[in-house]
Amino acid sequence: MRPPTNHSNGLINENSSIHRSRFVRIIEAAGALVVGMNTQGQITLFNKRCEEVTGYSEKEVLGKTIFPLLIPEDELAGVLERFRRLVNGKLPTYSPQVHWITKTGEKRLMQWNNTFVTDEMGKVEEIFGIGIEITEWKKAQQALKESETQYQSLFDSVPVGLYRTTPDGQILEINPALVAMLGYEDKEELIKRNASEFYVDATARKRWKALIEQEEVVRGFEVQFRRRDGQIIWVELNARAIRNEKGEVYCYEGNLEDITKRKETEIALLAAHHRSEFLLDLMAHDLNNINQGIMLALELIENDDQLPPHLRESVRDTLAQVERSADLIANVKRFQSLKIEPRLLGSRDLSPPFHAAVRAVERAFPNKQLFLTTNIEDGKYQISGDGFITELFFNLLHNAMKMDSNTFVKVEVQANTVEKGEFLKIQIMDQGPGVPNSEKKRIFSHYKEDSAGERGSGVGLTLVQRIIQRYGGQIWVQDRIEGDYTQGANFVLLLPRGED
Amino acid sequence: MVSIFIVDDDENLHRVYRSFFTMKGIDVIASAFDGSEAVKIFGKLNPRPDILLMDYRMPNKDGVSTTKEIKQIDPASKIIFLSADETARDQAFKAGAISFLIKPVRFAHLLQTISEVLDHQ
Repeated sequence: MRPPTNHSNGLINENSSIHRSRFVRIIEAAGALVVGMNTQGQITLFNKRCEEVTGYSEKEVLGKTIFPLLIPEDELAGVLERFRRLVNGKLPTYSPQVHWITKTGEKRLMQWNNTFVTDEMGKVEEIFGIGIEITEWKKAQQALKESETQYQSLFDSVPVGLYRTTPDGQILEINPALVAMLGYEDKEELIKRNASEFYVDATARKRWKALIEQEEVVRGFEVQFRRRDGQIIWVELNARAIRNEKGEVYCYEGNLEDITKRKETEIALLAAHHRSEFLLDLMAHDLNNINQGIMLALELIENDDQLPPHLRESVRDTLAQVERSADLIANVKRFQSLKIEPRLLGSRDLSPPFHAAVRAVERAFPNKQLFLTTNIEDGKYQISGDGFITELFFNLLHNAMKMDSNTFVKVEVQANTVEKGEFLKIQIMDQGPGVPNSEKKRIFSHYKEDSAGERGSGVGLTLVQRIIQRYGGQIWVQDRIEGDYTQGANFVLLLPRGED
Repeated sequence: MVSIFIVDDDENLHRVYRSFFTMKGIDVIASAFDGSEAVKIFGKLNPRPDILLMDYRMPNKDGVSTTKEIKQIDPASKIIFLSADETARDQAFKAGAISFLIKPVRFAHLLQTISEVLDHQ
């Protein structure tokens, strides 16, 4: 065998100074398969890499014809055709991919480059195949292709608009959902537009760009877009900036959702909310003006020395009803502000709002006197709360005053820390008619239609419960003297403590 | 005798205020049903009333604007707000009100407030 070498025309001739074994070593160093065949297709050379890939030893295959041994049947015709051309001295113009069947019957894919050796007359004597195994690479490529297909399929079928645009607004990619959302016939028509054209407010895209370039990711950016037919829709943009190797923004990619219905609902809700606030305010104002007139007129009658005693009693009852009506209005307004005002809790000294509530209750009952015993003093107890602490105690004390038919109303309010100092337990004990067991759980519920005149009618105690929920606390009612509810009620509050 | 000027757009309230004040020996020297009328009348009053009872929501001019103008005419005037609109409290004090009561208020409470305001003279 003459040493093969690469000739300028691709041939290996006998004049080469490179020995065949050197040629094989060089090729093997590159990890390539090298197989040699005579013009009959009988194997003359089968290097180590070929042995590794096929599981055959060189000894096993030398002299055997390559075609039925290693080439699968379905590729045989093509391989034979190329082999015939090589035998005729024609080099292939491309590198074919051909499977080999291993000793265990497994198919392995190889990419081949062929060359041949000629005799003095230029006749082909031996053919060489130099190959690399690409089975795994091919699998990876196939997987990549499948993944790209899946991505494309997802991109095309997802009901959310997906896009990629350059910073100057050129549309790089857009999915069918977005094409439909913006009212265009097809992608090609839309892709010619500039992204900035869709913004109803031209400055909105500038604001969005400034935001995304600073934050990298922008979520929930709500903006109005104009569709192809001129219709204006609300959309929510979620996007991130993609940067190139230099760190410059190359494009933005993200999704876009049509939130018109949600936005219209929000706007309608807000309008309804404003309307209800306006009506509540109007009603509260006008009703309290009317209450003022009735209250003063009743007081005038009450002051008349000629008024028979039974009528004086009726006048006083009616005055109390007017006051209840005013309280109800005040509490409904407080409910409203409880919903509107944000929850900003902080550590607060319990004493000032508590004593402000005491003073307000005393003013609300000019014909009664409150005898209060309490251990709440300035700087002694801190709770985690906000501006509703006064409302909380006002309603509880007001309830105690209202329910006690005596002119002198005794109330005891005791505070102490519990639960390893995490909570403040406050007990408000009155000597009113008490709360029967059947009422204890539902006393804080809203709108008790069957309880007119009973403790807990109206919204005062419901407001108390809402404020306590707002603070992350708890409230319940028990008997002041356990087992005998007629001795008065004990309202127990657990409120998270503030920092001292 | 203590004198008072009632400013409120509710005619019915005027009647009951007047009855009460008269009964308690307080002289209602003037009445106005909106802010503009109140400013006009106040400018001509001589002597000035000891107390002005001021509503907030009124036609033409609200109680806060009226208070500002009256305080310009007479910085010593004592204005007690009596309103069903609690939100006006801060504005009323900024404008120069001396006290703020929320309707409905018992007459005894109103008298006590008047008395406290006069005691601070």
